[in-house]
Amino acid sequence: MNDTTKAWALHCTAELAHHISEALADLLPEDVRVLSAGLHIMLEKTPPGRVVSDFEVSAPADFDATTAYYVLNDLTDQVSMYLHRAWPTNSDGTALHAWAGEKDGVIELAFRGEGANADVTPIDLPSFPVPPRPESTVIVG
Amino acid sequence: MAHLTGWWRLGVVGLVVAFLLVTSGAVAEAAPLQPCNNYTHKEEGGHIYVDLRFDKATGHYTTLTIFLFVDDLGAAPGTYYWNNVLNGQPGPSHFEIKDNNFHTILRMNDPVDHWAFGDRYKMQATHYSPATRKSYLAAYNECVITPR
Repeated sequence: MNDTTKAWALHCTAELAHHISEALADLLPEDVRVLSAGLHIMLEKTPPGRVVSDFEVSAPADFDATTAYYVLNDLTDQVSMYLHRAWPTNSDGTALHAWAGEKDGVIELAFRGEGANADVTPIDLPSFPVPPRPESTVIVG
Repeated sequence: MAHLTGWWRLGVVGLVVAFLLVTSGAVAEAAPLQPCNNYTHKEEGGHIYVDLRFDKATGHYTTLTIFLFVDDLGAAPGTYYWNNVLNGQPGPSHFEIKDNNFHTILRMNDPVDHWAFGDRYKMQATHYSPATRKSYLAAYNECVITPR
């Protein structure tokens, strides 16, 4: 099925992947960085040139906080796989988990504790303003 | 009597008009599709162009080349999402982020969207332009893949 919001949702997801890739730069170990191209996200071991993980985010039917959660969660898993340990953790070593919520057209992103660790200090990431939905449709072919 | 005749005439005229409307619609629907050779379908905001190109691998004209042109050049950069539709059946979805208009090809022996001469082809696509905040839809083009 090809609807008029699908291209918009893909655009938002690609922009979000790029946003998250930049947002994680300060949290990652020094020898790893995240690159994004469209829905592809790569972990690159520095010095540049060696891609250690390359995966594609699922193409969403729509774009909302759930989409953002999946992107952040998938990326977190990839980093954990590479490091062979839970990632990220807070200062006392407690594992944190991807979290995303939406408020007033802005996706809020964070790593938070879960369950018994729900109260630990979260790591907040820069928010992602959701690109505006298409205002109209133009027939082109 | 004259009153009845008037109503009778009105009825006949109505039937004739209805008949013409129905038959003209049927004729319009049955109009043959154009070949996909140098085929252009124009709509209000752009056009689709399809042509059959030579394929060195087969030694024949077996590569469909498809272009989507948005008239507003400033709206061309963005995300394109599309399906090749053969005989009314959409194939797998694809997407591309482009800084220009969209182009793709479809070879006759494509492992998924393979086609045969005589098949109907349609480019079904949506495009989102962050610059104009509009969606662009291609859904009305259709041609018959014909040897050249």
